[in-house]
Amino acid sequence: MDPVSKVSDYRKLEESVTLSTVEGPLGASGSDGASTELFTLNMGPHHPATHGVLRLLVTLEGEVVRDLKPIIGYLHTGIEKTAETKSYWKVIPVIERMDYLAYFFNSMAYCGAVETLLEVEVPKRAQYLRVIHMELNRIMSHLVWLGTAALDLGAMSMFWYCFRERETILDLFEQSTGQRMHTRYFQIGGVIEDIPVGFAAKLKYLTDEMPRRITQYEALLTKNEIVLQRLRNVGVVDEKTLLGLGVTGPLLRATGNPWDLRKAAPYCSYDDFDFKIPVGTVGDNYDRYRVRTAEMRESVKIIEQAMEGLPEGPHITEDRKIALPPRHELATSMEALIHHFKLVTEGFRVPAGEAYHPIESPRGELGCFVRSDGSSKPARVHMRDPSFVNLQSLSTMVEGSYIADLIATLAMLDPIIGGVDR
Amino acid sequence: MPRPEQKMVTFTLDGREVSAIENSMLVDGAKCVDVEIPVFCYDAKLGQPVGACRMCLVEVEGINKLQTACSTPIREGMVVNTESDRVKESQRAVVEFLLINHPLDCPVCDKGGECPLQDITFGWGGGTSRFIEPKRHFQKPLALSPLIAIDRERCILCYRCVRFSQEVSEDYQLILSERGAHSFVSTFDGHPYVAPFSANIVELCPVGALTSQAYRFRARPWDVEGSGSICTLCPAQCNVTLTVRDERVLRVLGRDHDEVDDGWLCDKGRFAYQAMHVGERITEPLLRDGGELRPVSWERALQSAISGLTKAAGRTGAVVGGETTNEEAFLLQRLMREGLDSPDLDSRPGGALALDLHRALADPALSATVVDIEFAHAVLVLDCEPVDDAPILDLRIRKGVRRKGVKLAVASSRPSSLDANATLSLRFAPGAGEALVAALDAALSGTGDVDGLAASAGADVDQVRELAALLSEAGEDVVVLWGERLAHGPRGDHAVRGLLNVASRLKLASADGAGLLEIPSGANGRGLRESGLLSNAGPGLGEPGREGRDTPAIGAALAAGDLTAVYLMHCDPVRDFQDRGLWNRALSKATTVVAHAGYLTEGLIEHATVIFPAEAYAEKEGTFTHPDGRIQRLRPAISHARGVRPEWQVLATICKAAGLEMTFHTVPMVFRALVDAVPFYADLTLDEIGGRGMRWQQTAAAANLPTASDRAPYQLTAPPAALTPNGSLRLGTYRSIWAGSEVAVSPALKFLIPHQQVELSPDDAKRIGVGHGDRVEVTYDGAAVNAQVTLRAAVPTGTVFLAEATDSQPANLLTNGEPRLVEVRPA
Amino acid sequence: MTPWNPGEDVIAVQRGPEPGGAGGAYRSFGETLRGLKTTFARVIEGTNTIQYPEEKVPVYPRFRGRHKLHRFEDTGLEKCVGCSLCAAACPSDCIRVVASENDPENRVSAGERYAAVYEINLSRCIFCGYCEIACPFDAITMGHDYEMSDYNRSDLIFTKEMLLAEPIDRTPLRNEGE
Repeated sequence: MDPVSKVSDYRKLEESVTLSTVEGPLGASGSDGASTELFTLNMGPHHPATHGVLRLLVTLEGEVVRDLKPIIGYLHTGIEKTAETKSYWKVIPVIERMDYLAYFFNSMAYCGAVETLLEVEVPKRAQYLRVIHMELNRIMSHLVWLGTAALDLGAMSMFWYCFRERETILDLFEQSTGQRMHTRYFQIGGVIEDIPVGFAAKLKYLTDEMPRRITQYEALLTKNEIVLQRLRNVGVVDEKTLLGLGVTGPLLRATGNPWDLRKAAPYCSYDDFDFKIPVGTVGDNYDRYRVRTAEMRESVKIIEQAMEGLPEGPHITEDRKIALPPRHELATSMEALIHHFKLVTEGFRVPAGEAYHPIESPRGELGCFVRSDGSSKPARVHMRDPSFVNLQSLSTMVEGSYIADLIATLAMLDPIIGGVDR
Repeated sequence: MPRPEQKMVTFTLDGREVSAIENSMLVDGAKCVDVEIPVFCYDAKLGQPVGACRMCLVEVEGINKLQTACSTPIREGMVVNTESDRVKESQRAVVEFLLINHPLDCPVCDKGGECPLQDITFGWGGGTSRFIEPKRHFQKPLALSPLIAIDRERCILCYRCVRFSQEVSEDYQLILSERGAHSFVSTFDGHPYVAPFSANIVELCPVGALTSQAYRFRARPWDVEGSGSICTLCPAQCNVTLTVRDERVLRVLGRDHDEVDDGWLCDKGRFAYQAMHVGERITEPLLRDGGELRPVSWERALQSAISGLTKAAGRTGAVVGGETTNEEAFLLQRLMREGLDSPDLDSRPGGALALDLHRALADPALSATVVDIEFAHAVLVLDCEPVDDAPILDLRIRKGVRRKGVKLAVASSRPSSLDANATLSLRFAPGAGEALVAALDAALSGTGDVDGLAASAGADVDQVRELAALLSEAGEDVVVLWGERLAHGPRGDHAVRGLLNVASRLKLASADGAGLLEIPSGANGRGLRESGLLSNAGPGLGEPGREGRDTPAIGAALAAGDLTAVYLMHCDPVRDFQDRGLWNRALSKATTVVAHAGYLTEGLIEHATVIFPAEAYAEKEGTFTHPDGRIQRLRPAISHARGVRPEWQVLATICKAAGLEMTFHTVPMVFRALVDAVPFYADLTLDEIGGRGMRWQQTAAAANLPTASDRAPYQLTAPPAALTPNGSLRLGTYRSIWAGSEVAVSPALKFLIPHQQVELSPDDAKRIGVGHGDRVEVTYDGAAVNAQVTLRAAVPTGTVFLAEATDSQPANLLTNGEPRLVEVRPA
Repeated sequence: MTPWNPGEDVIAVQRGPEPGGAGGAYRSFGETLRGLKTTFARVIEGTNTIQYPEEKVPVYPRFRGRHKLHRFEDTGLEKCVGCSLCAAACPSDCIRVVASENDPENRVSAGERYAAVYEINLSRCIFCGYCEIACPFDAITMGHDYEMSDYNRSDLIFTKEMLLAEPIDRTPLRNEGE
């Protein structure tokens, strides 16, 4: 294709975005004609406050947002398609890279779906280890959200504090899984190895420390006048609209709807733990902030319980047709060597069928749909990523509010573009 | 023999009603409903099952013990269970048992990743081992032959290789030695296993016990891609899958096609791929400059070829070898006929055959297929040696004789490897094929002088009569497999008329499974003729417009100066044709010799003016026509070697320069034009040909074949009598399967390069006073071939055989295509 | 359909005060001071900053850094036999292995075959460590080096010699349990 037509095609695509021409009360009340003019602004894709390569086409009337259209796809990676060309276990490190702040959740959703198809029993110890890592991940994800959101509101120190605690959690991940992000720790049938010596002590230190830290964050923010002014009663959307848009997670819970898949449809032994679902009342940005900080405390509780009640036993299923045989057997057992060889090169075959496995990620319902045609590679992998769905509610949240609030609302929405674009 | 009627029966498999062929084996029947019963030893290609591995045990209702599914025929109402606990337990036990002595070699074993033992262990095995004792040990790895490595520790004693050697290729070399756990596969006394089809056992082996030396450690299944094509090294045109890694062919595997190759490959087809990636290959145009061939740019080479050819317009000849595709042939005949105004072109090394006879031979009613050989009542192998000329047909004949009770008759000059299987073996004097078919015709018709004709053929008259009786009494389905050699020489027309008479006497045209099947001397011999590369026929065996010279006449005209330029497509007449002297004179006299060649051979080194590099068959796109009329597609598996251009483009460029309108952008466009020009190809499309090929005789357009004006039986003229060897010996020649550049340059096959040897009968040797291994000189009119004597009891007294196209001292030093008597004396 | 009701398991978060007004004026000072107190109180906790690159963070034993190929310590032969399992396991297809047959006189590895070519394209590697898991001989392991940046993409293709060699700078390693 020649470059000229490429450019003109792109222009046509741009023109297909219908821009709002609604004039609000501000324009109507203006005395001179100039102030009624609508102004269309491109925010992003490379804007420091868009939390990734998100492009927002904003129609402004003065400082008031009249219309907003998120334009996505700048971080499209084709991961779902890539997954179709890889054997089941090789999909895990790939799929982890979608929502890059919730990698344990990505692999959990995927492994859960495949485990459903395989009808494989995951050992209790593996389930508890998964819960520990997922809840650590939830805290970590919320810390990133809190740090960057506060930064968007102008609170610099919060960022340092949050990232300091996040560092501690990443250290824990490094210790147990070998990598700070995208750990491929969860495998189909369990987790790849048991936690190392010393992990429990470090985790204990973190769970003891964390509530105190959260109290400190709250001391800085909760009653801070600027924060209140910027968040309270801003970006209010009612429960019904959110449900209509399919929004889940802290955004929905901030309106008072206690929908949490950990309670509603417990997976991975979540019903073993005692924890609460924090909900808001109004559904504004302030409630979203409070719900997430409260969730961090609940997560700490879950981790403590899981670590305490961590059962003995295998960390991965003992089904030789799914999990790799123990390494020490490779040197002596022909069966083990062959199974190792076949699992590594070709991978196990999954009975034909479809499965959808939804879990509660830090941002809402993260579901993975896997269709198997009976071969050793998935025929289709699709992720229902909450960031993508939640992002739809942004324009409802900000229409009619100031552009400065758009930044705050976007920060409180917490979209991860890796999950939006996939 | 009509194919056995297949009766469908219904049986119950795992609670499902399955309809399958009665008496087929349970393993095969289960496949109808996608139930896989694991097997190691069973392979339908190997014939009768032996039930050696015990992997396929299933539960059959009414029988107390578990039964081997590979050897249990399906009967009406049978109830079979493959998933019961008893079956699963036995499967786990068999796998565990097979693995106790299996070495922990997967990471180093070539079979890893494509190994049935791995697959079955993973799919049906228990997953854990209880065996902790030391394993059995053998010395390893050993070379079973220069082509095959054997690792006896890995062997699971499934007998597949031994059965192949004993029952399929019938070379009887592989045996199982010792007993029990000490059993191992070996050859007698440890001799290397060298046979034309030996490496099929590598593909058969369900473990890594037999591996290819050439492919040893080259790649893993996940490193490579498979690419389906056909092998173009001989007229059998076996379907192959080329294993490609990093644009290099690393291996050739069979692509089972029941109607072409039955799933086997010869060692030449399997290993000659190496010739694509050797230094000897020509990968850039060469131009004779100051008496020597030098690499030049494509532009310069094309310019020289074009100017040389156009200068000689009207005085140019073309001689074409068998590796040319139909598309190239079509373009070349247009170039010659329309562009250069030279009708002198031919693809038959032995001279022209009357156009009417070509049409009569192509008659769909008279043509036999490869499968017909297997199901015929009787097969006559006439003046050809399948194992050399189209090796895979040799296995087909053996299969027919062994498993289907085909009566085999061999009529040839040289003792044939099929003699042992034949009901009747008949010898006749070299070059006396015409007299033999005339004698057979006379014996079949009951009229004519059988005795005199048999004497002219140098054959035993009783045997001729016996042969006639065998063919006429065996049944209606008689297949005559005949070599193009029969129709060679100036009296080729008469020989073919005799053959057509025999066919009509046996009523081959009226029976479905009967007919003639010619093995042409070139791989695509049939396709070239049908595409118009004949001196006396245009595309589709149509009238040529202007009749030209045939191959020997082109040689003579070049030598005489009537022609000044020649286009050699994939052939070196000096090396390949009967009359070496003539062609040496012809080519040295020619001012322009344009050649397409993959390797430098003696004639080209001496005489070529311009050489264009030939594509390797893995690089080539086009179609080939199988001797039984099946059009098959040749598909590129790798990109062209640097410097090599598609040959059809080279031809198209020259065509354009010669003033022809060329609108082709792709090979399929040329194919389209070819199909338009050949009326009986009219129904073919590349899509329909696909990966399995399509016989044009089976399309409606087959009716468009021009009919012969004259029909058999013909009135035959008396054939010349065979030369009487009084003191001197009749000279017969043959071309070994291993003759050819591909074998000579392939590192794996080099040990098989044929050297000249003088085959003598013991009587003659005694008379001359030489023994086995002595050097002798074979002379004719001053020319001499000097080689070692090989004594063969089966060689008829009074005849000596020499090999063609050997690396040195080739037979064509002495021959010119006519029967000759030669002197043999100690050197 | 009745909406799902978790019952006791729900806690409502606090709303916080309405911004502005007199309370707002108070909070502008009071809460800001409380925040400052929190901030200043952190001073006693000391710094968390690490002076990279002068100071390097030690990694945990399980940390997956740059790959290493290993030799047998006693014989000096390479552990790798060129089986290509790592290449099969690699999700990003960044490993290329070309095997060859050992010359018994001049052995490279212990078995029949060895890796004639072993290349890892580190610019494609995602450090998932599947190669390490796949290797039946512990011939390839994930080392601890994480400083791999280079000026040239082609320099990121690590050959067998580079992977067998000891890294120039050793990355500090934490002890098990530290």
